[in-house]
Amino acid sequence: MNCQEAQPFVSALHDGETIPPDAARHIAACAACKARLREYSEIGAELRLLASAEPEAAPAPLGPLPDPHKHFLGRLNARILVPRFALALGAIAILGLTVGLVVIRAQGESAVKLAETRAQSRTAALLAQRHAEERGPWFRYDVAIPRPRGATKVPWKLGAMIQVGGRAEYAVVPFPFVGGAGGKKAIFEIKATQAKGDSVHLVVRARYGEVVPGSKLEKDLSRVYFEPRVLGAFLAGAPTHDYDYRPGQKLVIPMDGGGTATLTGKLFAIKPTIWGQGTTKPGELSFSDGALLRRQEFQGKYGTPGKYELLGTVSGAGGTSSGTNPSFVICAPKVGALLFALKPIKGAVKGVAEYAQARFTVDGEDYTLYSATPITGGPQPARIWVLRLPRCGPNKLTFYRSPFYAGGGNVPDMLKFLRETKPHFR
Amino acid sequence: MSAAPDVPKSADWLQAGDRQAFERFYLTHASRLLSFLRRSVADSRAAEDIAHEAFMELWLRRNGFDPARGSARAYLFGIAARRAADWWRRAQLKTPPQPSAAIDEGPAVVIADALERLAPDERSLLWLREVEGYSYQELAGMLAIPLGTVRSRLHAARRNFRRVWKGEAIAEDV
Repeated sequence: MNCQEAQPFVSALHDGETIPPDAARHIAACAACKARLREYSEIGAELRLLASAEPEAAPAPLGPLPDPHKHFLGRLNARILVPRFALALGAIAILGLTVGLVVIRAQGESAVKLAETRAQSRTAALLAQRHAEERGPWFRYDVAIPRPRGATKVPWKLGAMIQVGGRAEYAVVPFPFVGGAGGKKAIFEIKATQAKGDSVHLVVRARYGEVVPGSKLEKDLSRVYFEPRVLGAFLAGAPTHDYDYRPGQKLVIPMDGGGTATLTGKLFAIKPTIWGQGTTKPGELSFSDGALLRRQEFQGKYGTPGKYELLGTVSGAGGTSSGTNPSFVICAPKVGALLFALKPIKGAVKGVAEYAQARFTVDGEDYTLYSATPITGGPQPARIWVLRLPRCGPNKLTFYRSPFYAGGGNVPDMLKFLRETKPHFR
Repeated sequence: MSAAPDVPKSADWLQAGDRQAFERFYLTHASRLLSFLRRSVADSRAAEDIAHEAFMELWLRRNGFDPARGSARAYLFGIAARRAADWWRRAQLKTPPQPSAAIDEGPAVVIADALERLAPDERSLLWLREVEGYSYQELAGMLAIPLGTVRSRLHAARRNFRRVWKGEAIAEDV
């Protein structure tokens, strides 16, 4: 053994630990290692001298000790400026501690990791509230139509979910925010009537056709307000198809007006909230059901009201982006479009993602985005880039008062998608 | 580490939620914890915040404390060390700020300077070992790291500390 190999054992020996015999023999015979041992003793003594030389100030009064439960409610109330949100979270705090834990555990290993973040408690509470309100089973599906030549890659599919036994729901592909209200659209009416074992009975009508400019349908789509009666009128005459769908199948649905769509899906005992895979792999970006907060003031002292502005919860949507330069977009009123990416983008700011939360500062204001899935994969925390585009969403409408997930994909595609969807995004 | 004379040695008081005993525990250990944190995060206001938060976490999560795995004091310092590490991560400071050279300002300044130049986790670990006197076993439990990591990090901390102390540059060892 030489001095370099023996060095770690010099440190351990100084700490009173036992060391291997060959290390002990070397140190005993080596003047340099003995000198190092003395130096380590000196270092320890110097550090203790440093600590002893510091004036020992009397600690500040501890203040009232909170009851854990009361404290939790009080903290939520103190941190969130929006009373409705504070009340809602307060009301579901107990539920969040019980049901939320079960829910998160059920979502697999990645969700366990979420427990390491404060985002988990907030998100779990939100999830728990919805789960309590919305009983399953639910059918989560993706419906896709062939991408027209030259069209952007992003919008030609849509993910949605319906309650089994509930009312029929409508899906529009491409989604109006993505492809604009006019032009050719595929509109689906999908109803899940019954679940049997692991299969579900679906009743589907589909039509692919031109949305007439100036029509009631075009107006509704431009407001992203789907009036069932108007959509039903578009589907008038489209044949009804019945399927016993078994998860894993790729269902091919003929569309009235030409072409076919494909549908894949999965049954959930409770309403699904994880839109991505549940785990985020290295090189991927993921978002699912969360909240966007803007920090107005942070005093940091425990129990001192820090001030956050809840810009809103982001619910019912999400996804996982992969590829060479993955990204996703969150749109928020008063903020605009926030494009999150793993690689630098011109004009973007640096941020940090750690498990289910991302922090970043734009135009002097701090933001935190919470997600129900880890935002990045691989080592945590991870560097991300956030590009803010000032305008997002319809100009004249107040339909979207909360932030929403506007899609994910490679950065060039997303930027193109944002540019192409004027006036919704610019 | 033994508990202070006026705080019962058994940690039953903590699990039982004895507020008076907890306040005595606070008065006994707050200064030492603050001293550790001031060195650990190099920001006295943040140190005060973290110390307060650590005590509150200990109180609020007292059911998570297992006396068989160590003392309440060690548990407290473990919470504080992890929060200090979180603070560094949030501050996005991969390496600590490089203090100005202060070689001529006396030995205490040189020691403090050498300490500040260590990576945050090395600094915390070295302080907890040398000043607070925690064993390898206790440190592994407090910081939730393997015993071997305690040994290697302490070695790295001492090696780097010594280099600054001796006026050598810190370099990556092979």
